[in-house]
Amino acid sequence: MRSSSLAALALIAIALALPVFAQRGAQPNPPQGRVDLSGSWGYAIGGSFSPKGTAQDAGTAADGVPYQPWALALMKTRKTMSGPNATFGTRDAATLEASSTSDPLEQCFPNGIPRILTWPAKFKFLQTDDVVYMLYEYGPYWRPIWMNRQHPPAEELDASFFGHAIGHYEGRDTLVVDSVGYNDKTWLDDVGRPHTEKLHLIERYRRVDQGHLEVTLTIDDPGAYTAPFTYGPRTVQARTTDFGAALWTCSIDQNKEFFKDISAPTLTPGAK
Amino acid sequence: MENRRLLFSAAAVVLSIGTLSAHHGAAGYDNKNITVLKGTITEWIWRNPHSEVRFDVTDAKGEVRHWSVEAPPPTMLTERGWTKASLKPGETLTFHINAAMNGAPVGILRKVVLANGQDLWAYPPAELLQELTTRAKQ
Repeated sequence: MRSSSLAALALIAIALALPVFAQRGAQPNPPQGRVDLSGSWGYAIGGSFSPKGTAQDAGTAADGVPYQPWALALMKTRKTMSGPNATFGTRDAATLEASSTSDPLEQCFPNGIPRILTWPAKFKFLQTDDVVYMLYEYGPYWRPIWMNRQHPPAEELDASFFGHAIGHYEGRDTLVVDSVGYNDKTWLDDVGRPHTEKLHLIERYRRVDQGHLEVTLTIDDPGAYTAPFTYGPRTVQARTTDFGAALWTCSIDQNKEFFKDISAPTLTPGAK
Repeated sequence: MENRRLLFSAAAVVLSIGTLSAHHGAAGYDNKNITVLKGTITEWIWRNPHSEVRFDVTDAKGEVRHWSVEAPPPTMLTERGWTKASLKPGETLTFHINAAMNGAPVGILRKVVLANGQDLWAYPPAELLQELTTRAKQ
């Protein structure tokens, strides 16, 4: 009796273990030659995604951006936090309840793609065979990049802050991300460049070496620009601190507190 | 307590305004001059979009002025070697800031000199930023 009980227990143990072995055995090996994007990366890739010039050149011929007239005019009406149209810090301190910028981030709207790359926080890739996940400390937000697939038909796409992204590997060092399906509620970058729902974005992430990642953005939006334009390549550095240890969660109340504590006093003429 | 205003012509070159956060444009600060203040911390706020240190500075006449100074958000400070416990209420430390141009007792923190003499950088010059980032661990 005792030996039969032991045999039964052994059989149960083997039966329980089998699915584990089967799962492990079923996992495919990573495709040979796929770039390893592990680690965490950042900070900001830039505040102004123009082919030329600096943030201060935004909206001038020096920035190399082929604006449609309406897009340029709209950008110039925006009260940004940086660049030539920055108005933050110049508003009457009496209007504390009002935001001193028209930047949607001040109201904690999602910054979306590609603007999330302008924020001084880290990002990370989680690579699987079918999907690459990009994780962002800001938000915290994340998005899937569907590997080796096509975009759904346009009528099935829901215009969203983070779009629909597909990806493929190029050579042994690069991930290429192709995305569409964006709404028009976000700014492309910190200086307020607009975009429409026709935005088609190509991101290229090339791992130069263990410590560096090269990022190139190509912005193709026939609704707002007369031709595609490219930003980069821009190199960002591998970071050594824990990814996600200090997530950057946006709070409208905290934005107001900061404005009240720090920004508003700088606006009062002759304060002592 | 010591409360002196230093003209840093060299520092104006070394300290890159470009390293300041874009959140506020730093429009109201005197970015060419560093104000050095010795003050006693009353509150240290580890917060987005910017951390904030409040401290009291007593002048030669014994009058106390309450300062509120912004620092980077937690994710950036962590990268530069800070933790939430880096500053504590009651400590008397030396603060290097760009003060508000209108004379209000607010500013943006460049660095704190700790009691042991060590510099704790909030917005370091560009060439030091690289070194601090590489040094920062987990």
